[in-house]
Amino acid sequence: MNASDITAMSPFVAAILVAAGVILVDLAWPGRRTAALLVTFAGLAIVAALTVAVGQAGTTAFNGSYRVDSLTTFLDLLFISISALTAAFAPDYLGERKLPVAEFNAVLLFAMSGAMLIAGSADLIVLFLGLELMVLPGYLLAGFHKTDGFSTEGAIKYFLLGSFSSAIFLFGIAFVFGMTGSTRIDAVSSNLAQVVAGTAPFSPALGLGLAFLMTGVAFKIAAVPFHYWTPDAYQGSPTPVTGYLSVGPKVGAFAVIIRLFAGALLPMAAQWNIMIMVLAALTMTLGNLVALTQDNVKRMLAYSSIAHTGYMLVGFAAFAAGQIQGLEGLLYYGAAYAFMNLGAFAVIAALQRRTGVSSNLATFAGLVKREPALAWLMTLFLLSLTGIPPTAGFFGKFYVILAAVQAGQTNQWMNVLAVLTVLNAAAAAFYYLRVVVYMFMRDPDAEVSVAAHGRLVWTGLTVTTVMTIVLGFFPGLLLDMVSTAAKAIG
Amino acid sequence: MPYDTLIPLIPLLPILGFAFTSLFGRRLQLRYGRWASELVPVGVVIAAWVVAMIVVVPALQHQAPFGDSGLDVKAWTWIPAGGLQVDMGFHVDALTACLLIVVTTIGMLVHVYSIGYMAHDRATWRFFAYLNLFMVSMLVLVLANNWLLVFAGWELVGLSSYSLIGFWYERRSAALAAKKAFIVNRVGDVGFALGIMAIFLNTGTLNIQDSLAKLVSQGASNTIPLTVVALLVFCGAMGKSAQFPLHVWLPDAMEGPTPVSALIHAATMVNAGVYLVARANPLFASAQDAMIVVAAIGIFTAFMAASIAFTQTDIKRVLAFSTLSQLGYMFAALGVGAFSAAIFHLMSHGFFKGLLFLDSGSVIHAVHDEQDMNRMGGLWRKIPITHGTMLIATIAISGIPPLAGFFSKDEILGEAFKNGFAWVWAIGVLVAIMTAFYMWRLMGKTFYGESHVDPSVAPKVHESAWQMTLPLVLLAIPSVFLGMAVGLPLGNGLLVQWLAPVFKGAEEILARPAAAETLLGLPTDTVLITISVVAAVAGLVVGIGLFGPRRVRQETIDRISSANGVMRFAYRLSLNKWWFDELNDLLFIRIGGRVAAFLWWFDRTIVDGTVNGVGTVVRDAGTGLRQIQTGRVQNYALGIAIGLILMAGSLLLIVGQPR
Amino acid sequence: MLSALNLISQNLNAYLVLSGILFSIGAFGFLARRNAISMLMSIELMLNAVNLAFIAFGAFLYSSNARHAAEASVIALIVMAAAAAEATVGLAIVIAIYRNRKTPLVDEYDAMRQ
Repeated sequence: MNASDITAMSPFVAAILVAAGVILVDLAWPGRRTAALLVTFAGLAIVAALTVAVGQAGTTAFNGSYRVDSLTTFLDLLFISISALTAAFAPDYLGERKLPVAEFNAVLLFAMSGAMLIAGSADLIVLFLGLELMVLPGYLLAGFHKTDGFSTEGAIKYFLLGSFSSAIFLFGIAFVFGMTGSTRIDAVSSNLAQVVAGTAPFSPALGLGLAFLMTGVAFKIAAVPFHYWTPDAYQGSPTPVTGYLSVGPKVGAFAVIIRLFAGALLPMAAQWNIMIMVLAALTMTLGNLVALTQDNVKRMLAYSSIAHTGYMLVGFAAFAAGQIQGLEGLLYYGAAYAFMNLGAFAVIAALQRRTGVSSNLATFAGLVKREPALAWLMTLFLLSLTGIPPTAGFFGKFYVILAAVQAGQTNQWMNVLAVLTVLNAAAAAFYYLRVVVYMFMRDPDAEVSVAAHGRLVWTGLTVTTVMTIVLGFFPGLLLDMVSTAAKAIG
Repeated sequence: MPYDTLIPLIPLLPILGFAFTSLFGRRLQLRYGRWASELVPVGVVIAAWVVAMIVVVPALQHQAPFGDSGLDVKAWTWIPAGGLQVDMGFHVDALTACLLIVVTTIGMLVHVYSIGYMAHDRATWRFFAYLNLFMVSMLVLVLANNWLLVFAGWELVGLSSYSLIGFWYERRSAALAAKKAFIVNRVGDVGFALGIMAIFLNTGTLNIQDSLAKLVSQGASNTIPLTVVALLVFCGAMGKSAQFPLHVWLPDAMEGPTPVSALIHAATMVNAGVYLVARANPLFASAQDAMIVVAAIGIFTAFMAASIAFTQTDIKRVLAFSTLSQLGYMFAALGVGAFSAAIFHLMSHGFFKGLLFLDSGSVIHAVHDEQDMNRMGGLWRKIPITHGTMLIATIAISGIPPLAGFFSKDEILGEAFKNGFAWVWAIGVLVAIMTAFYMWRLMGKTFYGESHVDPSVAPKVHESAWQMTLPLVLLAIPSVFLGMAVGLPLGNGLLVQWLAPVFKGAEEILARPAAAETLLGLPTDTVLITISVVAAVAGLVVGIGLFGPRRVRQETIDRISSANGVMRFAYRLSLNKWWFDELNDLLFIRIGGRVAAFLWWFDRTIVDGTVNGVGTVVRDAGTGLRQIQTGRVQNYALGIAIGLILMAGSLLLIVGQPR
Repeated sequence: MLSALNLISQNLNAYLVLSGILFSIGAFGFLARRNAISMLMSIELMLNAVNLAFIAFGAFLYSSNARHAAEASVIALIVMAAAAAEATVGLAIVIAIYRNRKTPLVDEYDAMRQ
């Protein structure tokens, strides 16, 4: 270990330190929300600054097990944004329920550091550690409302199944280690290239390893048929957590996919891409179909997040079929999805500020008359989730489909996938629109009191709104970053 | 050039109006009254109209900088290069200009009209916000220079029309109608989206002009056959322009406030499909099979809708079916290659149908929200301006010279015949008769004869406020003069000259042989015009005979019936209205009624049923699939384990394959 | 007997089969047990099976390259640490839900479904 190693890893280290700092501050001044929030946001700013500063260096560290490249920087910044927004949306909701804000922020920051570790991993074991560090705090967050039966139920389902899938994933890593003799991503990749070329011995155990790895990540991104935990965990979690869970661990898990499949296992893309395509098709179709039947908006958005996983997988399949645009589309989609979905959940959380307000559709009835600003913002986020141009969500879908169509020139099935995506996107409009209909075209059954929302919530909502609109009108701003990031792989 | 700033200003103004009204409208309305919230949205649309007119005049005359090919204005690079570059850009040529005239003029008048029409509603600010949003979407759709932006406008049009149709959501039927409109349009949208994908696959660009040129020059070497591309694009057009079998939403959409019906379902949104096909004219010209499909669906819709209009009693529904029918004409024109005739009809129809809808709104307003024509009648003295303007519009739509409808309809029929589509022509003439008939039926039932108005309402019937009558009068002007202004000389009027460069590509590809100069010993044109006029007059005469103003009064009847011989016959002739009733009974009620009833049934049961059925199947599938979410961890784990086994099995098979 | 054991201990596949069996037992236990604590233990078993696989691979890979063996041992230690962290979090959640529901049986946690 030397100075350059520490430099490369400094954003990650800083994130851990900030998390610890929040705990210490809470220890010193118990229950002082402002202090904890101050440390959180200041710390996040420092981490972001470090990320940008280190990102320009572009180095590997710790004997090649950690790597800082443009992809790391992009993903880190995305994770930081997600955490910052979550930290902004949560205090109102938590405070009303007497839940500790400082602990929440600390746990959230630990989860973020895990995601950052994933983004920079150049070794499968580091990858696994990052994954665990990301999901373990996630379980805690899901069960954060520990006196609430739904929250704990969602948490235990999430935890049990998540640990189960982690074990499966780890078994897959063991196989890859055994078959290639290394856990370093580039070494695995070059060994596999020899296997595929026929110059190195080949074992069917590699197929098993692939299957275990794919099951593991499919679970983490909530791809069908490994999605079962998603609706229950999302519905049960405190709403700001649901927002975080639907984007943070999802983008993080996609980072695993990128580092693992687009990095280590790329030589075997021809073998595993069929599975990705099947997963993508199943995931978006089932997610959308079931979302159509939901009356609880949180649960509906949970199923819709499954569908979005499917769209992102389409981008990844296009990448695996040889189109770098697929990876760009996936990254763009991830960022767009993060902002619009966090925004949507923030609105729900704001509505649920008062305890006892359910997330059923009925809560949204006549919202435009009670709180017109929230209603219009929610409409914007839902339109973006639907993919109506010109919003961020539209370009996410657009790039993914574009990449799929281009990949379709070499692989006919990619065309089918592209058409299926278009059909799914069309069907998805209905359940999103239902919420809009309730907000604008229904009158509430009973008089509902209006709760005030804190300044942090409004700031966060402004950011998500601006991003949703700006990325729709000027997608080029993000596209440059995305294509630089994708070049780190392609 | 100032045009570079003027053109983006046209959609920008309503955007600002929308943003302002949706943010501050409620507060303004609560604090200062409704006029305050209406000032901005109406003002921006009037401003947009002024700007549009400044742009339109030189664009139509192909002056610099527009020239023959039109002017491209780039606001900014929307999608930067790298595989694909798309600009946030606008393209204005003569075709765009024609649409701009219709959209902004009628849009503006509808905004003004709505001030009066919505005067008794609660949340007018929301209504005007939606109207502004609709204008934005429609203008973006028309002005766009690339398919992506067209698609953006396309989706937004659907969305804003949804909110407008469902504006009176307290009525369950309105909410359902809005939903249906959205679903059906979604079907068309998917087709259009796939069409755009196909265009991109074939050409690698999304710029409209470039991609069309490339599609045509590549011809048969396109990856995806042009017929498929054209049909996919047409699928989108069918949804928005309500062509069979995607027409089901339009009649139901009449649940919206009447100004909405005028704006969206007569003059603008439904024209989007016609515009789209006309814009893609070189594509369609290179795909002759698709053209025939367009023509067939168009003329079938024209006939079917006209026959259904016979038996409807809701005044707005008659107009809705009439709109379907006229749109069918436009598609028939597109299908036979008469592109400028289609646009001509689009414009004249926009004006007179917009007028008809606004008139019907004025009528409905006068009789206190009654829409059933059986509960109207004898209104013409009480609401003279409405009656006068509606009479003009009726004559115009019937195709009686020299009003607007005659020129455009005659051009469609003539072109169809000359381009060798005699069947389209024949059905078209039949539909012309039917049109004149059902329109006069509407007039008669509404304005003439005895009053069936609710006695409690009857004394209160009054002419509408000036905000409502002024647009009527203004719209009546183009309904009368548009044809004469741009349609003369026949077949080579001003409009045809204006549009010639736009459709040059298609004309060159089609390269139709010159039609025979004479028919039955007379110049072809003369014969065709005579036939159309006779058809229109025939329909009108039958209609007037049955529902006209000069029904015989009882005392006259008594006097004549006591006379003898010839007089008796004349009396009987007159009493029985030339036995038109019997003729009517036979032709229209027995035979026509059956056809209409069948088509109505077919429409409601089969077509509508299919549309609803798709939704049901999807929902059932969703309901079935959600059963696997049992709530128990063990079942989930088992699912994961099974997934793992399947995954491992298939990957072992794939990896194990010899390479 | 001894020679047979000797033969097995020289054979990578034997260790892998053992690891596979352990993993399967763990997975079966996870599927079959209703008690949250038992399920947690099953997961530990699965992780130990993975550790065995790592160690075996490390010992046999490329004729027992010492570096690989060391690497595998470190990995096993890391996995144990991760497993311990996982167990901590898991027990915390189990206790929380036990307080709410008064039962450790997970199939009774089905308030949310479909």
